Amino acid sequence: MQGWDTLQNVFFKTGIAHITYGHVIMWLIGMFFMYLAIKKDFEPLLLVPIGFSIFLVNMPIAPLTGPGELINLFFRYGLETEIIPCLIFLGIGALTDFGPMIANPKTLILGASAQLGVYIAFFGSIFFGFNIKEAASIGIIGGADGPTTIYLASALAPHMMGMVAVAAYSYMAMVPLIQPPIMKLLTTKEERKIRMKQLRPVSKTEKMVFPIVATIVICLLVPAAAPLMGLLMIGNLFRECKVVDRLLKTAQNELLNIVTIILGIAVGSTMKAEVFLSPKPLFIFFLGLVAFAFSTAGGLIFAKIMNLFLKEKINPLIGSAGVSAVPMAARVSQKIGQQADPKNHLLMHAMGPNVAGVIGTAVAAGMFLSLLK
Amino acid sequence: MVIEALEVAIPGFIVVFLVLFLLSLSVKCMSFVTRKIEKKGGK
Repeated sequence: MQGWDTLQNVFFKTGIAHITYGHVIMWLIGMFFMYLAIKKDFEPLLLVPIGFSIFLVNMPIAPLTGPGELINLFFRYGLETEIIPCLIFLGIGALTDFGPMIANPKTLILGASAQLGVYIAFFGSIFFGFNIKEAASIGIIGGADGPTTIYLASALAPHMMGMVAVAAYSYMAMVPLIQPPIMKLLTTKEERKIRMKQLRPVSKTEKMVFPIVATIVICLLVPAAAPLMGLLMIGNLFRECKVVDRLLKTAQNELLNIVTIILGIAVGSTMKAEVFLSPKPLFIFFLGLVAFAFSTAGGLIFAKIMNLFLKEKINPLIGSAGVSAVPMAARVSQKIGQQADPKNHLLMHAMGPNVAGVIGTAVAAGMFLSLLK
Repeated sequence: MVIEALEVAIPGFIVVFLVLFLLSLSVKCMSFVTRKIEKKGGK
């Protein structure tokens, strides 16, 4: 009899005794993310660690996410302290060429107008019954900027971080599917054919002074955006000053890769069956799509409004690139532009609003933080 | 709740526009000054 009790005891110490249907569903979701990343090449650098982490943390009774356990430490020290999203911004800054935006600073306004979806989804979320902090975390998906979304969610609604991060990265990967119909719907063929003058060359000095000017303007006006913008601009200064090659390479490669691994694992760990299997994630995915669509529309419509006042017309297709998602949104502008006129080259013009969108989303997040935290 | 949301969204969107508008003006000024300096340096 004692042998039977021991066997029973051993059995209850295994995960098999604690499996629920929720765990199995989450394994399938984790595997689906890994499939998207590996087979379909959707944001593989993030979806592989996120997918595997979802799979891993839904292993019943595994000591991973409890207080002081491994993935909990990644989450606590990496995300709750907001270190990782900021370090990712350092890497993004080191990789980003702000030249097209400096050559045509008007495009910064398109980066602002493409934040429209953030605020539309913010209201939508309130109507769906989310509280105001949760609504801000959902709305920011419309900025199509993963690290900013995680940064804001970790500060305002940490319990929703996994869901909003996955929604943001999923939609970023689906930019080439979501944006073109909206772009075609809101522009005429004639507008899509507009050719823009080649951008002027930007000097090394301009590129080097830009991070300093941008830091002064943004951090003085929206101090809450300083952690993100500050690190974005340090990274960019590494790139443009040409004297810290070692730091630049580290920021672009090793550091960015390390924090991406930790970020992916920590984000995936928030998607446990008991949290994820409710109607909420469906609403978040729906509202994220609304945010994305309106942000695309905001950029396009504002570009058309600007054309009413500009002597040299801009192609409204570059407006849709204001939704961060660098450089995919700019590539979509180029592709749709070339469908209307195969000799039209919009890529470099679209890179301006594209990188402006990164700044715009960080400012929008900074405003939410200063008003809600 | 809706009023509270309006109090966040309206100033938020205005500030985003304002910051990026001021940044575009600053970039224009920066380009003007650096190009002037570079021209002078070249002479």
